[in-house]
Amino acid sequence: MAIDLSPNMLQLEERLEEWLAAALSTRRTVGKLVERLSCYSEEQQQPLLHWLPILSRINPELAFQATQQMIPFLATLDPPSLSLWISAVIDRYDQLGLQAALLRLREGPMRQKQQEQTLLLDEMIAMLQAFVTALGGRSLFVASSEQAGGYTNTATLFLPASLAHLPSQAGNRTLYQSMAAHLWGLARFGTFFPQLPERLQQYADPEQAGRLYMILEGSRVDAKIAPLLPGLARFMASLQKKRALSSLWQEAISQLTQPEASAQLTLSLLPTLLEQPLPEALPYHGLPLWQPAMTTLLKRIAEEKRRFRQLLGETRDSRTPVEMPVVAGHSFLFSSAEEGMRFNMSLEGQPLRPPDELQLLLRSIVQDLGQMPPEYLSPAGSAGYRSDAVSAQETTTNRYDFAPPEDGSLFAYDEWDYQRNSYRKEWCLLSERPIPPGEEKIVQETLHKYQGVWQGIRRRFEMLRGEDQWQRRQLFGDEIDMDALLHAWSDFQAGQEMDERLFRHRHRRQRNVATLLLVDMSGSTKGWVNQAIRESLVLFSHALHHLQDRFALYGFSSMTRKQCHLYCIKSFTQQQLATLEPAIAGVQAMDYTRMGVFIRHASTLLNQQEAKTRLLITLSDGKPEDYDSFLGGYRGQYAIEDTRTALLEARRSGIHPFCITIDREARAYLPRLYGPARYVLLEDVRQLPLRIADIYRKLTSR
Amino acid sequence: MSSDLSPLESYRIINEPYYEAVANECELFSAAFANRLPILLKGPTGCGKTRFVERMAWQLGRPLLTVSCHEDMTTSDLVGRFLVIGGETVWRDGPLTMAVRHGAICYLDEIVEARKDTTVVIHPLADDRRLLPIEKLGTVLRAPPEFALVISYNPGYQSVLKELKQSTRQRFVALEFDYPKTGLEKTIIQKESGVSFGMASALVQFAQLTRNLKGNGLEEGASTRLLVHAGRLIQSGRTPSEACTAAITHALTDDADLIAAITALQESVLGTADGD
Ligand SMILES: Nc1ncnc2c1ncn2[C@@H]1O[C@H](COP(=O)(O)OP(=O)(O)OP(=O)(O)O)[C@@H](O)[C@H]1O
Ligand SMILES: [Mg+2]
Repeated sequence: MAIDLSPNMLQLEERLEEWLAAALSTRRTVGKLVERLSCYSEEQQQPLLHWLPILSRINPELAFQATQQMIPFLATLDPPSLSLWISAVIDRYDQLGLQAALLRLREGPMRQKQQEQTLLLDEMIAMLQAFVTALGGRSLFVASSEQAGGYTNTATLFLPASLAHLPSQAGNRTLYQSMAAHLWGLARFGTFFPQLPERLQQYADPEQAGRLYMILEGSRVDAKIAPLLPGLARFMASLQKKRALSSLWQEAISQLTQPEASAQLTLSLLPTLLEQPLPEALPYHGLPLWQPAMTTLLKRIAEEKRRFRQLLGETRDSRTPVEMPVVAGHSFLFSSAEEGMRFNMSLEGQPLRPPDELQLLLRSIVQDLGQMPPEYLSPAGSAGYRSDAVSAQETTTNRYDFAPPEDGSLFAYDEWDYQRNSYRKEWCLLSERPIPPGEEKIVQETLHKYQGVWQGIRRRFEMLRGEDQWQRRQLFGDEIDMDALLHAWSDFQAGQEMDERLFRHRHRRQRNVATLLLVDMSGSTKGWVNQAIRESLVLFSHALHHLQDRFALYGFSSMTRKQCHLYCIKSFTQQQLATLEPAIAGVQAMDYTRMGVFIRHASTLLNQQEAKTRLLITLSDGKPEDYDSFLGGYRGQYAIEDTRTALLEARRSGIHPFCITIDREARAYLPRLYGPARYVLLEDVRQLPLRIADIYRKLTSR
Repeated sequence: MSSDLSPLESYRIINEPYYEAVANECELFSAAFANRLPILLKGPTGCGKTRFVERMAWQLGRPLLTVSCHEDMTTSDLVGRFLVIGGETVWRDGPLTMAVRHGAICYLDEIVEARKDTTVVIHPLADDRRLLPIEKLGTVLRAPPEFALVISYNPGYQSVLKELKQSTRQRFVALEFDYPKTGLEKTIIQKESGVSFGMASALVQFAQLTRNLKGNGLEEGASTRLLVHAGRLIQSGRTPSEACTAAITHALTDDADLIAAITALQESVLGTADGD
């Protein structure tokens, strides 16, 4: 559309561009906004032009969205009301962050006076996240629903932004808990399984069948939850009692609440009830939606199958280094053992302790599929992901040239050869380069996905900022340290030297920590490990930014000793959070893991920082390994010893190394590898984003 | 009390402490004791480590001296010091020296809380020399066979400022503890607090949910100890809800969101105060 760009409009465009720069992209320009604004008089534009620079200093994204939302109100709403609205949005941002502020923004200026009993998810979300985490099972996240009610996709529980169904706030609080527990139960007790869509397709009206299925499943799952949460079950029962049911429905539900009832039973009940009118929905059941779960489920199943077979392969290889028939087929046997969902495993009749990651996968797979399909039991070849890694490398060669980068620099590092018991001099060539930016918009997505987690993290990090403490046995101070004085006196009487540190001093602890987070970008991280790493980077960087601690983020990947690439995601000097998104989105699975050289360079970078505590956190998914052909190559004992030595060097230079490992299968060599550092093994990649900020908090608090 | 016989008489454990063996820890402890090997107990707080040591001290017939380590503890607090009494300086043995002199079990609880320059004194005691140098007296004590050194520590990723040095930990026979298995824990709660088995089961069920929060905001979930505490409050007539709030929820954290979540869990398992 051609618009007449008067001088005024041109100026407006310039100003908008300046204020909103950080939130713009090729697809998102100010053109549309200017066009819409041109319908309003200069006077009407005033309130917007007043708020924009303020908002853009707070958060460019917020400023952009606020502009969009405010425009329609410029003609109809008086400036004070507009200001009231935007002030409320800013308040919300300060208290609860961007997501909450955006929600408030979308609610608009004329939010009717709320009913007394209304409860906002915002006020509850951190608490509900912890509640759901405590229920156990696969990690689930709580986020606000964009639909008209609650539902789950088996990875996230989407809850309504507010609840006012019951007459009291306390009642609605319990209603939120019940809904969270119920949706958790749907994901936990087998409501969603791969064949569900085709089973529902058999009916003339699959939509209706799906709704019916979900309502029946609701009752079955409630019965499963009841023994675990008897208190909550009583509350749910009080709501169930209010629901009028035909005798046919009563009969069906009494069958479904038997302990052995399964989703199959629910399916078998569909034909009899299809013609019947649906009963009233229970307020804590949410929407009868099964479709959102299917995409997530199918993706997870494929990923888990691949990972499971790969792990089986590795388990087999590590057991029998000698020849093993490739068609090991059914030689792995699994049986479910007593407590909880633990599994026993045997290979060729020999009992084996399944590695923990396998154990978790088994649990997750059985949760999705109800059993262990036979084709899962043929292990993948020992090359496992390696074929993946090579193909990943092929596809990325176009983007990443292996020549020294123009905009980076080259460094040579020694490498430890344990057989020679000496360093190979200047053996590795490391190039430091900016990470090629990615396009995906992962920040908002991640912060929304982990909305509940994130709010909890923010609050806990707030408590970390500066706390007062007494320091004892000081040379100077506010007060005499009586204890120290007594000791000194008795030492003195005994003819010994008297300690001079006799004071105590009240002191505000300044956080003086510099942290470098080094993340694995090797081929083996392809898929959900990479995803979890990116999400963790988002949460980690936002959390540390909030705490105002100094930090840098680097990713690494190698392809022989001459091509060790260290990608700078965020350097210590870079302060802007807004520009991080493309860098984090650029983190992807590439080649191999020559750990040693990267630890050495990261140590150099860290030691250039003035800080009392220097923390090096590495995040990787298993064994150090590189693709090179010199005798033995960078793998096995050689790689382990070099990595270990690099960690030792870091430690000696005063750095605290801490290693987070996602590969649980490798227990045997880990104590040796990480001997000089400390480490944690994560049971489940999906927990990484949840745990990373907490790990950091624990590492740096007293 | 005839203090002439042994100054440690009052540290002797007379009655058999109630302890439910979780695995083979009693046998391992006895074997280590017989071989004069020092022992490291690893495990979360309140899972029964102290109770276990008491039980073993009773079984082996040795007095037990327990020291809770803290940041300001000095070597003198362990080994001993000169005191000024009526203008004269008198040497007073610390608990470690007492235990070595009289062949007792010395239990250093939460060893990582002590500073590293303090804990080095146990090194010569914890290897096969079994010696305790007392610098201020200019003497060295050799530990008798009945002496045993036991230390405890809670792993889990702690602050980088607190960790157990390799050179310390590699001297010890390590026994790993965790909360007792579900069935056993219910029995323990029932016996220790006197609540019904049903109530003990509900408490354990609640505790297990809080344990899923470990590392997700909570440093530890509710320990066996906290359940015993809650049970005892219930036995004295407090409602389960009151008892859990006071003995468990607020003992676990100060974080408002987590308190709300744990309260919700508690109500979800045990019901609300007004009985629904
Ligand atoms: N196996 C057990 N048998 C009997 N009682 C037990 C057992 N385990 C735990 N308890 C109960 O739990 C309480 C707490 O245990 P204890 O004080 O030994 O913990 P701890 O591991 O020493 O904790 P901390 O590390 O905080 O010192 C005991 O007082 C006892 O009531
Ligand atoms: Mg104890």
